[in-house]
Amino acid sequence: MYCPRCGTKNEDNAVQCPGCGQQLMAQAPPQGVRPDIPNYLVQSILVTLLCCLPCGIVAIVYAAQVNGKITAGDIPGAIDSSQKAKTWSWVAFGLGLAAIVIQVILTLVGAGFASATQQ
Amino acid sequence: MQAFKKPFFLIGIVMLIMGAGVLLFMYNPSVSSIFPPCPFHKLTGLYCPGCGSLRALHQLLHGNVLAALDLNFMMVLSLPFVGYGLLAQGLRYFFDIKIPIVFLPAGLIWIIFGLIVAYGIARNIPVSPLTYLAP
Repeated sequence: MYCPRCGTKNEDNAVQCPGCGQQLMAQAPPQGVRPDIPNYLVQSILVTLLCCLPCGIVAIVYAAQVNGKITAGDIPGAIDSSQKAKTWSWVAFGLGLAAIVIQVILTLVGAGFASATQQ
Repeated sequence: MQAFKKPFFLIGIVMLIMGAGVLLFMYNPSVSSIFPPCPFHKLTGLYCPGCGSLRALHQLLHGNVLAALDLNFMMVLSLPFVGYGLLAQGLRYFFDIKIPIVFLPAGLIWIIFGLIVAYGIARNIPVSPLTYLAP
């Protein structure tokens, strides 16, 4: 189908237009067609195991909600949870990265300080 | 096959993954200091569910599956799922090639959630059988 707002060509079972964000599917799709709403479960597990656990865990909870709502036919709810899962995955990734960068800087500063006091 | 989208992004990601793989193969995170220690462990002294995952990847790259399982079996077990998921998403994003994306029922995701949380708690309990879960 083509997006009614911006004209981008989309999958027939697309729920949201990737071009402009227009919602394409108001209610549950026809029987047997599962709407294509990402739940970011893979990313959530990855950020959880690569160490920023609280936010990664939140993303996994939203990933579960996405699939639960898809099964229940609650498409707007699933899109909402999908967005939250995405946000929390990125927050987890960003915080994990920031913590490591800060720590490397502190270590370097500490090493520089130690060598300066030894001289 | 149509020309792939966003070639520089794709090349960047492939180089990043290969670079990380080479570094992880050459340097053992448990003896080398080029990998920063986990900030969470440094601050709290606790093991999170991801603790030992870099060391486990290093052992896996050297074919030591048992050593990897000993360091972080959650990481090793989730690797096929995570690897396939990333592959499916990557093929879709860059090449428009559609291999099925695994749809897990919500109940199963809740079980995975429970397992990860339980794993994170259990490996911090210093009682005999549970100590094997610590990295």
